[in-house]
Amino acid sequence: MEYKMFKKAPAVINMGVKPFAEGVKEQGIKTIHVSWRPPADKKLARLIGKVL
Amino acid sequence: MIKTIVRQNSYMDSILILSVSREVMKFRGVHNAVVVMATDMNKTVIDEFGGMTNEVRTAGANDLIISIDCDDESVIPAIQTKVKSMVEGTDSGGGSSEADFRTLLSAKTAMPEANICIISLPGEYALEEAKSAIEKDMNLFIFSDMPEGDELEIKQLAHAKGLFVMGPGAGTAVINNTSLGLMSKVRPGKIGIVAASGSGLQEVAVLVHNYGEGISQAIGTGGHDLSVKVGGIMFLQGLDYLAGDPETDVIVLVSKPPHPDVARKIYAALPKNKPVIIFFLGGDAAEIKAAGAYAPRTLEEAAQMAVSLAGGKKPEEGDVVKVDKVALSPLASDEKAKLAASQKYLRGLFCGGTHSEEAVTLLQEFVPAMHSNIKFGKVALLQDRYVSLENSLVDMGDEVFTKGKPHPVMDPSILVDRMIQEAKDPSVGVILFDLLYGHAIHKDPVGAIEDALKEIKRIEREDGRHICVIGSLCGTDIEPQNVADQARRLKEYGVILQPSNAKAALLAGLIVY
Repeated sequence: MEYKMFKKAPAVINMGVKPFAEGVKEQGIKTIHVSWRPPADKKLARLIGKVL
Repeated sequence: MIKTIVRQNSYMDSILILSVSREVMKFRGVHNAVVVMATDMNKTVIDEFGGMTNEVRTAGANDLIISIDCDDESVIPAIQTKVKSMVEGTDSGGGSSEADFRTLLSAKTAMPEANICIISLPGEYALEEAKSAIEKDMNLFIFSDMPEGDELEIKQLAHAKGLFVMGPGAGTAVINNTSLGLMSKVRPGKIGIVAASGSGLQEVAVLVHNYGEGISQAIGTGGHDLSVKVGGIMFLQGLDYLAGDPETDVIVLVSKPPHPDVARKIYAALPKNKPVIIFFLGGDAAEIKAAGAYAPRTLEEAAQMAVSLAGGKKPEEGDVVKVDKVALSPLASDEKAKLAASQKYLRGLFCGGTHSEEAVTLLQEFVPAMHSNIKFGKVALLQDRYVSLENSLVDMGDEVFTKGKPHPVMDPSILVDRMIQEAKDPSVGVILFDLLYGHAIHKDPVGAIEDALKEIKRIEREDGRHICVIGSLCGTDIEPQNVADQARRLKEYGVILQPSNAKAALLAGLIVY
């Protein structure tokens, strides 16, 4: 099987504690930190997760 | 008295919550405080603390609860003002000019080339976000913990698409020369690692670097990957990749001994075209050798073997532990001579989980009366994890110690009180510890434990006894921190440094044995 992860430089999306994003970013890697908030309604979140 | 404040719509991640908690504790008249997001589980913590109110009962997961044990109510308005400024400071992005992304979808739309998603969300939300990332063809590095059933589900989904899931519970990885999680910076090279252990991966990678070679890829799978339920899906996938990777000449596998069914699958998948070194902590060396792999006794030997093989040389034969013990004996004798006859015991306090397990494995063979807070090897389990007995090795990353605090790899200041407690015990001769370096780790780990080192010196002067303090620094010369300067500062406090966790543990054992 081909594993695409190793084919190109990492580009990272971080969801959760910010230092993980900063740790990657300071290595010169493209990084987006998501200012994540818990969804108000978990059932709705699951539905949205399925749609997206 | 207990007073509780609820701030609606004030979500904070665990690190920011910790900062709020620290600030609240600084107010005069405050004895204790619990700061949490209002999840159902956290509400039970507030209830146990004595801070339950109707407002807490109806609060949602986006609401922040601050429950304070204080002398009187007069301090509350000042705390509310402080928390407000901290919440609003984070809401504005802490002064950052970056765009504010609130969802994985918006981030992926802005950066379509994103191929790795790091998730350190509360466990109950991690699954949905992980599945969503896999649907978007992203590999995962999951720091959060998850039930094994959820882990199996996402790993099967990812495996079908040729994607990697590093974790749940992943601490470290190196992908295309980028360190992920709490990982050291190491040079690129010919040695590939697959590890179901964060500090095990880091120790091998760091020592490979320090012995002059480098890392092609280092894939962390999380500790549960080799369980019978998950079946080693990502461990085997990592092995499959490294076997076919032209940049990788030598493969190192690191884990606790897997379930026998999973071990058989790994042995069957070993490549014939390149050497494989298998470090199954405390595992059966004969079984590993029968499978055609090398079986080192320590993480350091795994790194030494890998560097030799990458250089086209056969690894040295013989028992490395025996050789290390002989080499360390003169230093151990010198230190032992400085101790009083009553100073019979060693106390090991570890940031790295696998460091503590490796120390247990090595020391249980020759040090009697061993105890630990981890169920591993043949040592007795400490009944009270806060109180050491005789010879004790304590994994300070144990969740008992880390509730509401960062993991000691991230911030080793959690060691300070325990180091002082051990030093005060007149039966203690040796204190052993480890510090880890890298991205997303404390900028000054020595500074974080410096209060304990000063206090140990004071206790030595006051009690008129020598306390032997031994450390190992898991870091390279290209870390964000200056590890050489960290070592210099430790030596000023009389700390004896060893180049590996194994050697530090063996030296500690030889002194008290």
